[in-house]
Amino acid sequence: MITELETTDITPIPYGEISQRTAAFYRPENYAISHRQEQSREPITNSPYRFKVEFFLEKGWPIDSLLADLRDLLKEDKEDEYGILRPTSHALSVTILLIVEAYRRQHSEWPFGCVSTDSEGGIRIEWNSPKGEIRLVVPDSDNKKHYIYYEFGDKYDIDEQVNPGKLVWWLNQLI
Amino acid sequence: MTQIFPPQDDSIFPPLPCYAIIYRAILRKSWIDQRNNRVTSAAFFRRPHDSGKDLDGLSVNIAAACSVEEVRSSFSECFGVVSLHVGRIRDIGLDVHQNEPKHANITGLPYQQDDTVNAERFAGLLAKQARFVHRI
Repeated sequence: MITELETTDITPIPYGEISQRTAAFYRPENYAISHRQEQSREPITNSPYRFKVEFFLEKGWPIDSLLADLRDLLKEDKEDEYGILRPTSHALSVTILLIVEAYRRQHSEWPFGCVSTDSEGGIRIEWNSPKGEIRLVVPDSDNKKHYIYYEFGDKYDIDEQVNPGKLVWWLNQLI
Repeated sequence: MTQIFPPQDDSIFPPLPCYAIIYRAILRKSWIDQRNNRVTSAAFFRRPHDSGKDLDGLSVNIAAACSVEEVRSSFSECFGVVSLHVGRIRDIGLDVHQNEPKHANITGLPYQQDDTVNAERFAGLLAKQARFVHRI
């Protein structure tokens, strides 16, 4: 999955400044792309905890809420009665990579999403609209299935080709 | 002539009537869509086989035998309780089997790793049916 994502066009990112809230995610130990940055030896930030992107985030926007909800999962206990509560670093880094890149490609009419973890530390994000429903499922580790579940009327299935472009495409079906 | 069918399983309890109501505890805050005041599909997945949990199905309590307060107090953290109708669960092809005086399991749900599409589908259908009877 990581490999697949890294081969997509995720240009790192000479644009405006991301909010402090989002930047907190981009600690190198959590961020899969940092690997690639090292390889390319192209510094894209002058601070390890700051990151630049081409869009603005404002408090209350759907993407801001989504990233805040992801961040809040990190504040949870590691486990609860149901299972692992805090997302794994794999789940978190892949999810953020997908979300931020998808949002960079299209940030108009981005719907509000609902974030949760499964019992193993994987991340689920659900988006609903009167037209249908999309669920992004990023498991706790790379050797499990990543997918987008979609449901529009009587049609439902999963799309296992998970990448930012696909996520944008499916989200657009909700609009 | 009336046919007599043996029970489908080894339960000592008779089948729950379709009008019965069951409770499902909401054990995680993130299972609640705060914006729309609804529970998400995440609340209705069986945990993987190797966890040893949910082997008989999704755990629920029977409303006629168990109060909301009892459901809440049986967990160290409970962020809400939702109710579902047994008949409506049967309408979508699942069932509810009582295994203890106050407890039952929603059966027929596949594991996510065995049948991802139907696990997602059923989880979504159950979430749409569920109604909050208690929320923190």
